[in-house]
Amino acid sequence: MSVNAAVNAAVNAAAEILGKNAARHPDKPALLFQEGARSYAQLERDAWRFAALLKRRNVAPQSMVALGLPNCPAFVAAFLGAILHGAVPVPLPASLPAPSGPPASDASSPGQERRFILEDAGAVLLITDDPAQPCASGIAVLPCDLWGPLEDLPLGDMPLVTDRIPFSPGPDDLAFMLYTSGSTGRPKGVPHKHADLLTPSATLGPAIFGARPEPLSGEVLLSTSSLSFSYGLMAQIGLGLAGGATVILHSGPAAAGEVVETLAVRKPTVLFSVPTTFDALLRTMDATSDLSSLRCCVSSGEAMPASLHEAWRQRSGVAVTEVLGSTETFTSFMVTRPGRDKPGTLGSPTPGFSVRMVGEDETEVLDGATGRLLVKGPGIATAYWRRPDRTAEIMRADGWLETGDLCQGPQEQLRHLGRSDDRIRTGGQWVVPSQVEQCLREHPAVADCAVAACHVRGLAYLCAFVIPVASNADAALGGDILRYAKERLARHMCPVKVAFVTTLPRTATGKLQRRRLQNQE
Amino acid sequence: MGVTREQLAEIFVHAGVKKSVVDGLQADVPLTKQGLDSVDYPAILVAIKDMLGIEIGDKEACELKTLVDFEKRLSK
Repeated sequence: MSVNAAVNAAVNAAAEILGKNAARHPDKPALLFQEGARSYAQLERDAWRFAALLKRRNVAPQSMVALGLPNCPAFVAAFLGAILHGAVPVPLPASLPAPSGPPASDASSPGQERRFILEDAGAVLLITDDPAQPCASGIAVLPCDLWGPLEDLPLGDMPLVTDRIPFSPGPDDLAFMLYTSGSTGRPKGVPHKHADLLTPSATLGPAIFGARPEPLSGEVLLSTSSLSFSYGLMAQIGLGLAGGATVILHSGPAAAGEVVETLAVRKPTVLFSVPTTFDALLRTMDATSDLSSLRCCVSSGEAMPASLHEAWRQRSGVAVTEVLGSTETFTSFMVTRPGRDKPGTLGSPTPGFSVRMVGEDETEVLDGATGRLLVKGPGIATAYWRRPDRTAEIMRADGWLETGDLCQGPQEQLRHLGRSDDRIRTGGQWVVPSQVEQCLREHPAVADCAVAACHVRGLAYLCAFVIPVASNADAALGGDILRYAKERLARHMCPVKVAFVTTLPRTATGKLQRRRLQNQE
Repeated sequence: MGVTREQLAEIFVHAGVKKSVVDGLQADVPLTKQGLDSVDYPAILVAIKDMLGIEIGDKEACELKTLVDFEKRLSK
């Protein structure tokens, strides 16, 4: 059966995920969260409750509904409930810890980014556990706690099981929308259709877990990436819940100590994470830390160095599977086979996907040469939200998506070399250098700066190249600048090194040439 | 070549770790359990290379969990 035949575009994705699993194993835990749990039957009821609340508030089908929630059962129920109703859930970026210093004055501020997304998406409702957050002004709010809505549903408004009729999607109807950082720092909405949410379990699931029926139904899955990120959403809902697994929801930032505790207490069998977190886990665990429950570990976000592969395999007994995806593809379209593919290579296309590499003249590149990676396959977004300019550049009319990744062949052993734009992927997340630079330039001792990628132990981090105001800059000032960034920016946006320079490479028109600074620290 | 606890503390501060955090570090408890995170660790490795000229290999870097681990490695 082809992938396209496996995913029916006319099916409501949430109804498919919930109905199938609630019928098959109603009492099985779908979600484990803090000390509690939600069975598949309970999750289905919770989602329909959200759907009924949207109907009661006259939210029209295909309206955008923003989710300002951390990883929690309410997020999952609201996400699936909105889709049942035919609305389009738009997860807002995960909350960040309150900064101890004054906020940055640009789009790197989480409040400003959320406000931009609400306006850009045209959200008619915000579902949140924090109605006081600044971005919530001027928009209708549906308040909830971490488990569900606070609003009572009048008797009779909750549809009986026999009356639950989900929105029936047409070929152009949207199911959900994620935002990705643009190369200029202005986030872009990436709308996905119903079939896109079901694509991971039809394609990537069998590639990782085997082609047997319901390969995930016996698994307990933990993802250290948030539901508001494409990778975390794909792992937890697109693979986990769609496959009938039990999903452990990790509240708050996935600090290594907390993940180690969750591994010991909840004993997941499948771990989705990123290289920096695998690395941090190794440095947090002691000899008594128990990883014996793990049977599958998956990494994404950036290439995992061979030394980290080996250290994790020795400690856990499990070889890591690496996947590559994007917000636009939603489903990871490249997957490695542990033991077969060399660490540092991208593996093979996920079944149903094709990749090719082209050079500057748009022709196929020869084995061994560098080219831009293009991908075609099921579940890939066909347009950016209200951005026809970027759509035309990235989502080609011939069906191929420009990933923005520069790779080197041969195709069966592709290596990722970097990006065709200035964005840097670190800690599994995208960073737009100009946002970090804007923050650093507000430090009183910084005259000018540029941020580029550097590598420590094979993993990408940020290096700030700083022209100091005074000529006597020293290591102490470097440390002060690093702390200044950490007090104002999300962790993944913080440099790990400050290099003092007297000039920065610029074009004749004054544009920063960050590429010339990569790994030059 | 040995490294004193004070020198190590100075390296950590130059790596961007708050002095109040450095002053409160317990020697034999994993640094990740004392407030140091995924940004601090590579920053410390970079600062060690810059200030002491010592480049720590990938494999042995995985074993450096505590202040004592760093002291032992830098005293080799």
